[in-house]
Amino acid sequence: MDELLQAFCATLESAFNGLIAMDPEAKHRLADMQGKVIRIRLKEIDLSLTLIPTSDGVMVYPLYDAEPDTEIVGTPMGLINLGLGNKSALFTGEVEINGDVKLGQQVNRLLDQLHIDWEEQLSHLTGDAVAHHLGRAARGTLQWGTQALGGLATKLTEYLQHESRDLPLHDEVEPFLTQVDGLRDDLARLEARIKRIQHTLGNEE
Amino acid sequence: MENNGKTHFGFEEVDVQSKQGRVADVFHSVAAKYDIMNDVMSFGIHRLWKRVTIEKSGVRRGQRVLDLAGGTGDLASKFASIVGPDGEVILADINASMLREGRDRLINDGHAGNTRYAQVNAECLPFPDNYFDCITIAFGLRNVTDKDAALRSMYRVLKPGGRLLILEFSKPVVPGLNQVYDVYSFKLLPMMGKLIANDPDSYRYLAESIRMHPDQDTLKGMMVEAGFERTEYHNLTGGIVALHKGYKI
Ligand SMILES: C[S@@+](CC[C@H](N)C(=O)[O-])C[C@H]1O[C@@H](n2cnc3c(N)ncnc32)[C@H](O)[C@@H]1O
Repeated sequence: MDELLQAFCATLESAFNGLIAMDPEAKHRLADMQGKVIRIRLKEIDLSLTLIPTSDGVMVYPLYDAEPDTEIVGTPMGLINLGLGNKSALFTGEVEINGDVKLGQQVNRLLDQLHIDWEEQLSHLTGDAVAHHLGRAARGTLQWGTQALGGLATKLTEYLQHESRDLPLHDEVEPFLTQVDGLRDDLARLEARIKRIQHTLGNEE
Repeated sequence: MENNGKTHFGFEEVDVQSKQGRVADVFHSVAAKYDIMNDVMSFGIHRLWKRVTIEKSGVRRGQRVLDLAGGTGDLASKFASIVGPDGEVILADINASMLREGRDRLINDGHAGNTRYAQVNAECLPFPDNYFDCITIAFGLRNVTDKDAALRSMYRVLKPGGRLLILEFSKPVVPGLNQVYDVYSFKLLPMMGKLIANDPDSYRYLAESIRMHPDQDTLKGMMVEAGFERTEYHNLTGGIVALHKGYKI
């Protein structure tokens, strides 16, 4: 689902920006690249990410809809390197840069210096992927609809805590959630009733 | 679509002239709590829908972007940090209260120098021909009385090669979701509107205006009619929301 991939990118974005905020040097260098479209492609696991440096950090998207200024292609530490304790490098071995080579090198150096915990980050993605497939299998039933709403809400709380400054207070929201739960029960009953009616109709025909 | 000068205000039919006034009232009354309501109403998912919109916009350094019906400036703020000092973002809205909230927010986010504000009606945009690289209108088109005029106006001010992105509620395509969504929007939404913004009527209006809005293919057809090419749409969250995109070639 687009939303989950976006949520993953948003989480990654927060992780990046957290690190960048602690590193004035990195922030400064990023500002020079503001608004450039940087595609990062991990061979083998077929994962692309697009980074866009901004005035105050970096944005991360799955596949930004613009011709990249530079593309960095490499073999991911991903599955090979996970568990080998080398968590800070995004790429292993040779890296290929297409387009604006100088920009690509700048980015590459920055990524190396930021010490992102890639293992931690990828674990979010895997969780989402599983959720995605589960959702898909059950799709089409009313039950899925209600569960997905609940599941998404939980997932997103985590994401929102990263991103939001002005979320309503827990106390404000709590009564809603109780009512949402009530609604969900109502829906379950409604669904059962629809099924009964359908069943009755089916028998009459 | 419209006859005898009547148009839809939610499910009530109202005179075309009075619709704009009533839409304005709705947004005056929700402006201050608008962002919080957005989060609660959509469980925060609107942030992800907006991310998809930015992603599909492909806006980059140096470009000029119009965030139409931009409200509190969620998209405008992101664009302003992408286009940089040599680009420009114009936040435009018909409603002065919303525009003020939007301006305060952008300034708060540290944007100045590459941002402008304009109180406009989407139906007759006061900008030169061939002016923008990208126009976004998020959750705004359904409030516009004459949508065809608005689409033509947007087409006119886009540069050749420029693109329009419309993020709007649409018609759920996942079986079952329709029912859930009906209960949600007609019961839960006004209730939340009452609790947070103390304004159930405005949120009832929102629910109703969502239901009246053209579905995915109808809106795509309207874009083609207005001159847009390579039009496409993308369903989000089971079609509760759709993102339409089209180019001026
Ligand atoms: C639901 S808000 C969306 C705000 C923002 N784009 C967002 O996604 O959060 C709709 C906005 O459309 C504006 N609006 C309504 N009719 C309009 C028109 N004819 N021209 C321009 N803006 C309009 C309202 O004032 C309001 O701020």
